[in-house]
Amino acid sequence: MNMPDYTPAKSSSATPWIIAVGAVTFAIGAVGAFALAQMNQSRQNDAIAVLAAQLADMQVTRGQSPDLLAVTAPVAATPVSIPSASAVLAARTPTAPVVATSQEDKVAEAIAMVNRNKMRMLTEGVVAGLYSVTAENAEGGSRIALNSRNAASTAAELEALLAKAAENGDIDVPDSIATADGKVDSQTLLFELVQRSLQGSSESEVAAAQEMRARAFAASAAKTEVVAGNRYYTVQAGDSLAYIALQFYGSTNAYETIFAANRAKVASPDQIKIGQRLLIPEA
Amino acid sequence: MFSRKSVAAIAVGVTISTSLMAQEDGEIISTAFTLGGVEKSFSQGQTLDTETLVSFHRKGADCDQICIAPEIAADGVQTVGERDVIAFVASTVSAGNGLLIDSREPDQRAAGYISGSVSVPTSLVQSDNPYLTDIMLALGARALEGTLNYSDAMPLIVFDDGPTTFDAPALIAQLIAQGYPAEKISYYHGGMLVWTALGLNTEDANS
Repeated sequence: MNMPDYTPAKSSSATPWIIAVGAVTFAIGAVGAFALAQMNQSRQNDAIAVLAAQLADMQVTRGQSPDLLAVTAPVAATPVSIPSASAVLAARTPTAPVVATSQEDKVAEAIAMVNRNKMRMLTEGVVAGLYSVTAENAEGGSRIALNSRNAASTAAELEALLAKAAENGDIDVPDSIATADGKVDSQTLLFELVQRSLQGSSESEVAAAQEMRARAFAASAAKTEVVAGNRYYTVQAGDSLAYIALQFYGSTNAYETIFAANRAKVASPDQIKIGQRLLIPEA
Repeated sequence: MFSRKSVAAIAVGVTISTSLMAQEDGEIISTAFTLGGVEKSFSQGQTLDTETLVSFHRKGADCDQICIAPEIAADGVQTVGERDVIAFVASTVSAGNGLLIDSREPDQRAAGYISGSVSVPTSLVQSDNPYLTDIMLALGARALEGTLNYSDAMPLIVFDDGPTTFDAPALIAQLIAQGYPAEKISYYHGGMLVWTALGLNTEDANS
């Protein structure tokens, strides 16, 4: 009887439903996003907890031998002007995570991921010359590796942490570090971090950076071909543009030189391919 | 002693009959090669050029008594014989992938040298030579800010006047001291003296 009246009443009662469904969807979305953020957060927390535990261990050791560096290097006994590692220092003040755009930011983020004290220890060791760069046998041939004498386990841990962080997507790896077979070159990333932390202008840092370039250059087992006065290198599995730069210029940063010389065949720094012949301009 | 009847010349190519090319052990070696666009070959004469032979008989300056260079120049450095030298020049050197190094001073080299060899006097490969880096680059090394990398360095065979002289071992020691990989260096102990005594041909400033 009152049918006509019911209809509008029904339709008006549908509105709250739509709102309710919308609200639930929103809630699920929000919770989901929150949960994702939480997961991400907990991953980072895990990494940080591991580092904190390691740091605690280190401090215990430090307590037993007040000047850890002095044990291995008399050089370091004099108050080392701590590599004013601009990047390291900058990263020490906690900053809100920002969207990484430039390579600089990506690297700063990577530095932020790793333990500052460890990084500093490694860098100090490099300034004091307590390291070697060697060619080590790896799958697919010989690879350059950074061997720290004052912080050997630290270097290995950092490399492992960087590899994991990159794998998890916690750090956005610079294009130049992507290998020809689509992996992340964590050993080269470690070189990159150390070299970046040596970009200060102090005499000791400049000398340490040059020494590191020399050692990396000398350690390379890479073979090249010289045709009509031009040097060519054939990309191997596991190579990243930064690693190739490390071998021929001693510096990961010099990837730009190789990239610029091969623009015709390399679209972006992460686009090198196994078997590709790259022109290596004379240093 | 040197009247090897069957071997008038081991120099070769297709024109020489196989009976002449066949060595005692049956191995046949090819000794023609091209260097810098010039056709060259190794050959073995029937008669001995005693005059040249004598000119290569020098005594090392530092010898008090018996003067014979050690057969092994340094750890990791192989000592090679005439056949190795011939094969190395004919294949590796002619392809631009290796160098036969004459470590003697230019005046000694003027008396005669092995075809395909280049002159790198021991006196030049000294750490106080400002052009040392350039020499290493010529041997295939790469340089960065004065640091050398020897991954591309060429294989070398180094020789001198022979067993009684020490230029080659001294040069080899210097190369290794500079970082040249020992496994890329070989030592031809016999040198000019044994080379000539076997009747093998040489080139000189006039040839």
